[in-house]
Amino acid sequence: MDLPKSFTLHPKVQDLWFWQSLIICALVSLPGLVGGLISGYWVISVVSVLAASLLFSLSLRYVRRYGQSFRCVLESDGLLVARGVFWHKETLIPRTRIQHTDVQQGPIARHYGMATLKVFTAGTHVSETEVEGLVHEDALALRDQLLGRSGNDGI
Amino acid sequence: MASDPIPAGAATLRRLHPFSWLFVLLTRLRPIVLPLLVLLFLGQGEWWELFIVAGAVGYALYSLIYSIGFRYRIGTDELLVKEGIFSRTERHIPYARIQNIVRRRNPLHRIFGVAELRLESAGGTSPEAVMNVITLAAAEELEAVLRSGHNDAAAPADAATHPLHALSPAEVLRLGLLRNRGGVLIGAMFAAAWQFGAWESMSVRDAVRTVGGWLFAGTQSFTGPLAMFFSIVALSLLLYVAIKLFSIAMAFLEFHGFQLRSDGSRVATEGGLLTRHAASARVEKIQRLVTGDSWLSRRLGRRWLSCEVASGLQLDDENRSSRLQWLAPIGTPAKIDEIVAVLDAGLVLHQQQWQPLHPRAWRRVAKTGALMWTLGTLPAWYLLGLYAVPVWLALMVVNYFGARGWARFAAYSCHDGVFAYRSGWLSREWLLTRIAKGQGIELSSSPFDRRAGMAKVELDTAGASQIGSRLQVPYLGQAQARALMAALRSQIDALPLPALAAPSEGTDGRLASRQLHL
Repeated sequence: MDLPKSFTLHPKVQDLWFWQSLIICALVSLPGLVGGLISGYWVISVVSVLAASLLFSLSLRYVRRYGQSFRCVLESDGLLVARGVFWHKETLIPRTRIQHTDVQQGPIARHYGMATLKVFTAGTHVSETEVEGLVHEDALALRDQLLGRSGNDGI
Repeated sequence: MASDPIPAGAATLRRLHPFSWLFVLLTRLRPIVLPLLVLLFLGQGEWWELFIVAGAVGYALYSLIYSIGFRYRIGTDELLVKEGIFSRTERHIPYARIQNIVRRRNPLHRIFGVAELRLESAGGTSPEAVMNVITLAAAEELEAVLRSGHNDAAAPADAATHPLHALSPAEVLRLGLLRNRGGVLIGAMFAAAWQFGAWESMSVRDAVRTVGGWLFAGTQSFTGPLAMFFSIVALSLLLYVAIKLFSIAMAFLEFHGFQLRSDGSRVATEGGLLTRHAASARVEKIQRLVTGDSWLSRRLGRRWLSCEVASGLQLDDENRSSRLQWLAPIGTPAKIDEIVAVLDAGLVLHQQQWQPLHPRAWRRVAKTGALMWTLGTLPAWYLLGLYAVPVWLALMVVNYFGARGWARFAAYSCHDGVFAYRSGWLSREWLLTRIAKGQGIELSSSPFDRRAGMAKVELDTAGASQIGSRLQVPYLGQAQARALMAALRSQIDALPLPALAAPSEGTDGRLASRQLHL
């Protein structure tokens, strides 16, 4: 395989984040909505619904920009992950420092064939790096390639 | 010890000390000792309290059976531990896997002539083995075997010849004067006094008046705001002296008779007045060195040096305190350099090539500080009104000089496989590590960073304290940050440096400073 190799997000990842944002916003607005209807102060219901829709539209903008900022490159010496909207972060995990990896799938992610790759090192503050929204096959391929080589882990 | 021929019974299973059950019981009861005392003194003699007594008796029986069932065997290159009552576990621990050895002796241990030995490895959340308790001779024998890495009669003599660093009582006294640990204790005492209502009968104002009364007993006319002011000053002084006295007492408790020894491959410390802690680790398992000083310690020409050792037990404060951490709680800069040179000659401070941060770093520090101080003193504006203006102005001046001083001192060095970062103003700190010890590199920038064209770079290491300083260089120019990240990246996978040829027999092994890939 040619290195460096870039991994892109799953084409439907915006859909996943759309549904996730919608569920969260609905849950946040629910107590206000129900409380307003029961108590008869319908203003509370209207305000909570409006606030939730504002939050929803903001979060949609956020996830779009997050998707644009995302970069995941497998290089010969390790995995480089760059992401972040407000706080940009670019993390390099050397291949030889990876202790173990994890591929996870939530229910919605499984429906779309997406997965989250988690890479663990023995470090302290950057000991867990999460790559969300990869194509499931990509995540598995990445996992296999990252664990392929062994070396001195420096501890 | 290791130079002695291994006794014939070395390969047999050994047991703990006959009185181990007492120590196991005490260790296990420690978390519930306070509720038990409350029950004893405040108990109403209810029938259900019998259950708790029964529980305590059951615990004692459990401890007895547990300690009788505990066996261990010192093999050729691994330690075998068998423990458990209902589910027996049998663990084979290769000597090479033991990262830290911690020996603890409190006064009770000393009465019985025993010690608690705790063996830790890099992984897992609990120690590999806890010998609670074995005789001191057995502990020393086991430590010698672990130190040499294998059970070998021909192992080199124990390096504990003469200490690399030792603290005299005068030095411990100085350490106490420099520290403010006593403040925590006094704070806790005040909190407790508050809890139990000691303040309700005597308000703060009364306390201030009382102290003023003692101090200016002769002068009856000494009342009004001036008296109040002097009383506050006197009270603060009193508090300061009390904090220092407590700090000195705590320094003696922790570091009386402190000694650091190293044979170039292992490093060990020992100290403590009542409870004696002995900790050791292999030198190449040290992840990071941290050294620092404060304004006061610079006046006395002193500095401190500590290290971080990789271990799975990161968050447990109780265990952390007994781990190998302080290499030199206090020492002259020359002494600290000497110790560092023995551990890894590449990490000596004056060998680093310091590069400054971004030229406008001080402005960022000053702005952040100004915002924090302003927000922090908002309540004072309500209380003092316009009188808060001079206070705020004074804070801003201090903040300006602080930011200037911080930025003047802050610098990083990435040279010859070593990464170092220093920062601070009144209290200063240096963090040093071999780049090959890094576990990950992160370049990050906040919106403020990007507006100023800056970024920060972090080299993550294992075993660092969660609350301690991070090896993170902030306020770098963006190009500078990229270059630093590339430099770290090219050196992080460097093959471990070949250990220098073993020190020739004649030379002092301690001074043959090896290039350890720390």
